[in-house]
Amino acid sequence: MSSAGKKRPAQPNQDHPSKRKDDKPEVKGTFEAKLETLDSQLQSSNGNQGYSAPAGIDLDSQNPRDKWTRPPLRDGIGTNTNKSIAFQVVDLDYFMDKEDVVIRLFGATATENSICANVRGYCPYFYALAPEDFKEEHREHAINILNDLLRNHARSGFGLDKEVEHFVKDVQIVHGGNIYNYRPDNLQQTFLKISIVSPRLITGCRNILQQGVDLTGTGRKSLDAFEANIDFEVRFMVDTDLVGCGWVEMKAGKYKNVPDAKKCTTCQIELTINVNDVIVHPPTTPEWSDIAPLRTLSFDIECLGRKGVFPDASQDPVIQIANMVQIQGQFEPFIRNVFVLGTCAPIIGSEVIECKDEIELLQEWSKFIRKVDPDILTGYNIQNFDLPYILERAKALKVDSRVGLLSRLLTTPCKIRDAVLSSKQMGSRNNKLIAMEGRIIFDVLQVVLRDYKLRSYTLNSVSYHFLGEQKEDVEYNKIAELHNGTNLTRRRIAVYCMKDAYLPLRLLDKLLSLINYIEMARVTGVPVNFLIFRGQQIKVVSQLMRKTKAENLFLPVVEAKQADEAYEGATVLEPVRGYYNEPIATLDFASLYPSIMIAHNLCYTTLLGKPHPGMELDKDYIKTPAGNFFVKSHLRKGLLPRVLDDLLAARKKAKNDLKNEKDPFRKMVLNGRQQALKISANSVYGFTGAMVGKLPCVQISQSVTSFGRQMIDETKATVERIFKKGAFDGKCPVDAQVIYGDTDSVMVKFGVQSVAEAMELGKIGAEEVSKIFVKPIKLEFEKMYPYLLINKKRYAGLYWTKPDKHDKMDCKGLETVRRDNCPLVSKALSVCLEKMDKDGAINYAKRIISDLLCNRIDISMLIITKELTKTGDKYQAKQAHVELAERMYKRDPGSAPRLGDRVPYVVTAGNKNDPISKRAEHPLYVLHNSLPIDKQYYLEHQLAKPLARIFDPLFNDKAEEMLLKGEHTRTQITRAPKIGGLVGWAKQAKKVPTCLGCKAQLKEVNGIVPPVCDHCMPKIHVIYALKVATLRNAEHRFARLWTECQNCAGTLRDEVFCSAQDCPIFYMREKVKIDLKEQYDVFQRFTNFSNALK
Amino acid sequence: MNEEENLKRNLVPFADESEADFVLRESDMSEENFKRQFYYVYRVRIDTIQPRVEAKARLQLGKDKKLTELQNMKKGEEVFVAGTILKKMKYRPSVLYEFADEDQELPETLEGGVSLSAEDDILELEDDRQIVKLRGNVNAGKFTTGFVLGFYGHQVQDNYFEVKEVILPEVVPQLEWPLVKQDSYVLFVSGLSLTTDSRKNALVITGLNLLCRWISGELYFSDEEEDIIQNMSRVIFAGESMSLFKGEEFSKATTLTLDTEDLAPELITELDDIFSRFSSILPVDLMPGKGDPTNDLWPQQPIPRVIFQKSIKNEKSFRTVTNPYKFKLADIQFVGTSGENVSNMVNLTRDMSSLDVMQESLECGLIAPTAPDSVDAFPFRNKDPFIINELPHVFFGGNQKQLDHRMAHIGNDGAKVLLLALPQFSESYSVALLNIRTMEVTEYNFSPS
Repeated sequence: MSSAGKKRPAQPNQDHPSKRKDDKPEVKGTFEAKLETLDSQLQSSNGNQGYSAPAGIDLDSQNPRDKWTRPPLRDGIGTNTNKSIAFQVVDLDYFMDKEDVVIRLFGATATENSICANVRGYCPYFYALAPEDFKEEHREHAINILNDLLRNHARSGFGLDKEVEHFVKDVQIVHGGNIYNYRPDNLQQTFLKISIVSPRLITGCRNILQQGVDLTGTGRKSLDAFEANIDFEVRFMVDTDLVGCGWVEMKAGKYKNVPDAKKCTTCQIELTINVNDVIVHPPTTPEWSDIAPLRTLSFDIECLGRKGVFPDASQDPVIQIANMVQIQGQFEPFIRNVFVLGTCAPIIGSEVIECKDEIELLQEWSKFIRKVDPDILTGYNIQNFDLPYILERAKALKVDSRVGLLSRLLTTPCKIRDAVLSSKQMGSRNNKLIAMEGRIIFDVLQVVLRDYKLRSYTLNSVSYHFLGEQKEDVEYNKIAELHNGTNLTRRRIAVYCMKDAYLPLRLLDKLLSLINYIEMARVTGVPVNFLIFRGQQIKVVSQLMRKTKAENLFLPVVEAKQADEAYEGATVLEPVRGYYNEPIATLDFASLYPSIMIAHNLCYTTLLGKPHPGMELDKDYIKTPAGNFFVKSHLRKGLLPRVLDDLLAARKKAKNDLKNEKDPFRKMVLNGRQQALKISANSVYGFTGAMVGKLPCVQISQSVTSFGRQMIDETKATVERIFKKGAFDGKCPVDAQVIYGDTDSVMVKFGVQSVAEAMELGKIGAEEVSKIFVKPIKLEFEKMYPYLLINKKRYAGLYWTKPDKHDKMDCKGLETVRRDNCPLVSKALSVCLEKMDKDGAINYAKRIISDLLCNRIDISMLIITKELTKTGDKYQAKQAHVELAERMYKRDPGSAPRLGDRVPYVVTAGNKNDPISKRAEHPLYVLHNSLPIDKQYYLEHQLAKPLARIFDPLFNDKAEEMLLKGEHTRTQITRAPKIGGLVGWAKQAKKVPTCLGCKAQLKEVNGIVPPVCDHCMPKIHVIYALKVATLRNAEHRFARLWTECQNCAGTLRDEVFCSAQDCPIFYMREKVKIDLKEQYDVFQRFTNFSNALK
Repeated sequence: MNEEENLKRNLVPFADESEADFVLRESDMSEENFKRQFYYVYRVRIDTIQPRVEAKARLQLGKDKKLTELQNMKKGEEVFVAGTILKKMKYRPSVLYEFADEDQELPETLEGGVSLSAEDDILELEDDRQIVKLRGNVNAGKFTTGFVLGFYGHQVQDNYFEVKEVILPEVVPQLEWPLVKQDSYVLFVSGLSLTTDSRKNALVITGLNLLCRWISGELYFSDEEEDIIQNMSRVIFAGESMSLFKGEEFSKATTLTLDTEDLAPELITELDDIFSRFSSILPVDLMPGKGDPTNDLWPQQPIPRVIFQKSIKNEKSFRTVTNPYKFKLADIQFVGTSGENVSNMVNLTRDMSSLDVMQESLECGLIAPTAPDSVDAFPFRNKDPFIINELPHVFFGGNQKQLDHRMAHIGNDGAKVLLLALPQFSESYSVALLNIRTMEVTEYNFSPS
């Protein structure tokens, strides 16, 4: 920071260009300027759903805190009960009121009022297969026996009131069947519906049954439990037809308002109602498909770390918390403020709340949360960092009982617990779970981690990726410096902090995350929370139970076990490798796995252990290619096919609506819905295959894949049979050939030259082949790869859907997206692929290799990054980035990477015998010490293999050799390092001036060393040209890069100290500083010599 | 060859005055210097020019209107504020397009000749502490980033300042115009623009040969022209003589840095031939410009003479000079550039001609207001060499579309400056001849056809 304390922070924000063309460049503005204009924008853009600015809020009001509270209740709501109240359910939980379970539905009304409905009269239950001799008269006895057995169990905790006596409330006889297996008499079995006082006792009761009980007085029998492992929330929602984020209506006159004095929540309306008086509106009707004006609060904290250690809540204070509150349907936040420890200069357009000490800061912030009463809490990594930090910090300061009151419960502080979320889709992750009743914690980092595969997940690079926008990254050390400075330097942190709170909102808007999650919640019927914190399975369970409920089918409790047998997966046809300079048609099965399940009626309920006597193959049942039997739909229509039917039909409808919809907001909602439906349909197959899942059924999953394999083979055979030379009125010039096939698509070479011709044949092919399969299986002609480089699971081509222009480049399995490669690799690959011209591509590849060997590649292209996940000694083998982190810590604990940081490194030449881990160095260290890079490493271990893979089909597997050897590899240039073994020698050598052309030693003439020797003098202009061109190049970069940063910072008069290492120009601008000095020295030799000639 | 053998010439006293401002010193090139950012330059600029704005405000608004800091403004109150201009432009060329990613699709920008300035570009005023947006009686199309200006008006809303009056800096003094008794001429040639296109080069060289023969006295058409030629005292080559880089300069040059193959050093030899002929006839001043083989950051340094091995033999009559270039001829003060400053500003403003932006630059006391923001410039710490401290008599800019000139009144004190926009030779085959007695400017065309 410069000496003069100045107010303007270097806050980058220009709206950097997005890769999408339709994004018109915007006027660039600093983030601050943005903040300043937000109010005026808000006033003019009153959302698209017809909500005006929050009712009762005066945007011109001088006191920004007037906006904090929700709009007041109107029309007597909250005092009278003569009006029905509809609201969108955001979250639900339950609590025990003596012997009653009370379900709390939290949500918001269309008028932006917050509400909590206490729903009574719903009792938890599960099923058990009844003993054969169980009769109506045994019920009383059963209740008593189970009650006694459960009493002992229940006394040990479970938060039940001491007065509770009735643990088992009822045992009823119901008839139905196990969902597994088809039996003609399936539904005739007798089950007991056992109602229990608390959902938490269900597992205990189930264990009791399993151990054996004597319910009929005829001896102990072990009873199988059904649906005893279903989440209570899901159970409740299934039974009431409520879906996640669905709308409910409290019947007029049927509810009671909870008087203020007795309220347990911070909601504006709190009422009590019987479950039977709650009207649940199906989300599919247009009237009830809207999203309420939910309040989303995004926040970010700054804390004062110590050098080299990750901030520790027991010691390091929170110094600032920035907040942005936005209403669903609007596009900008209407509350913007920042809580600052100490004084802070004002920020136009935002409120600065100065706090004299940290306790005040935390408490004021906590009060702010309660006042604003957000439905959704968001931010970047708030779940694992910001929120736990605040809570732990409050504990360290002994104010946790006040500060922790962040939920909608009046008196219960939030609690944190550690959780490991494992799912096939995402792998294992250690997470912190924070219970915040009534609000959704919607962490943008978690959403991005879940839904997108990126090279880096820092807020900066995620923002750059999706928004084309950068933010200033201030180093931890700098934060302390700024915090300990003046009110102006603290203002600088504040603006930075606010930007970190603002970007998550922008990301949510851009990615439609919230809308998509809400839609997914509605489609699958589970609360939004579940979608974030739970895996895929719960979604299928919820959908399945909505079907079984009506059928009297019950889900058994399946013990999780490891799969002992793996079934065969999808098929991949052996590729006819090569480079196709002609259109290739791709025939895709639309929603392959769901269609197979529907077409062949594959379900738990249709599975036949072995054919029953009297059943006829192919008339009454089928045998799948995997050898399993399933009954046909006239005997029983499967549940899964029906779930899938609904999903696919709903998706078709959503897609249709989307086509006809004009309103951009509704369009977003519909698109979110059709995406959610697609994902849900595809997850059903995975659910049956998940061996540790709730309801595994390998017979279904292996049959699905076996059908898939068979269909790919059949498609190949059919295509090659019907598209013979001369077929279709001579449209086929040659016999068509299937060159590749994978899972649900086959690629066909029709031998035609134009894209239009291939499209025509492709469409015919799709139609013809579809005929041979059972409905709804349908082959679609979707895309074209007019030029295709191919290898098993690896291909690339231009994607065409229209005959005149390609849509995009499509790559599969190639290293363009791998994170552990340096950017040079993905760049080289994508340019080569894009060239789509054999010679152009290979020349480009050679040029890249030659540039690499001659030191002409910018260091930013050579950086490899890896996340530092565990401390060094936990890794078995020394990894490069771990060792580097240790070395950096020894050099300077302050700037060393910390656990969880991504460590960037470059492999340097060093001592060739050292392992890579010793030679990995931080890019800045490499730059400052001019360390030579290990060009061979980059050539052989980074570039060669991926490049060879794409070139092999073109050059008969000789590509690697061709790339690694050959003319372009002859010239190599290595820089002399400034440190290390050679330094002494290098320094000495420098003292003897040499000719810039031929390195001959030179002598001073009249105190001036000529730039070149006499021998080189005739070509001095050539030598000079290269030197000065290099200088000019560096200078131009210096000027453009640093003025860019100055503009990005939005100030001409203050220093830029952004350290965003994943900004595309960060290392460039650092490197160029180093280059310039050297090159000016060379330039001076020519100038001085010229001047001496005068 | 001695010039006097060919033709009797009447030379006038000449002095190069660029040294102080434009020649880099050893200390400028220390390692420290290149670690520096550009904000220092703006600070020097504000420190120097803001007092001039304040002085002007005293005249324009009255003595009681003191400078108000932006942060001390009260809503509605009319105040005088001053600071640096930052122009937020929709189409501002960003280095990220150029460097970040070769494959990145560029946003649609306006191309070729059309101004990059859009209707809704916004001016911001930055003072020591705050930034406000400007609106009202100020034309965003007229100014660019880098000016130091004052404004009178009031704050509306939090973020806008409603401008009532723009306050330019006080105009700096000018030396009295000297009386030149005799006709004397200086010839300006700008933009030879030799490239790897040899057909085009041949045309340019043919044109130059005609010009060379004309000034050597072989090819004049009238007595008047003979008189002119006898009284011609200098030829100024005002930049952009060649393009060192083949093809597009600097394009995508980050990941792949330079190779000899990318360069055209042979053009240096061709220029050497040209300059050696001219300098055998008349004193030649060679200014560098965009593409020429010297440093890129303004002020550009003289091209080392040693690379022109033929011309250097003409010793004192072949000089390589800086860009910008400041000199005195018969006590007339000249300041000029290769024109990048002018073209750049024309691009970033709306409806402003080359002469308009040149006049505006003088009025605001800056040779190149857009350096370093969009004209590459040196990261000085304690100086901004582009600040004008003394108004020149002649202000020229090279490489413009056509010859244009006017005697402009700068400020209210009747100071007059000849503004001279020089045509690019490679396009127009025209040169400009200035009579320093009458200040008449004549265009001569040497089209090869």
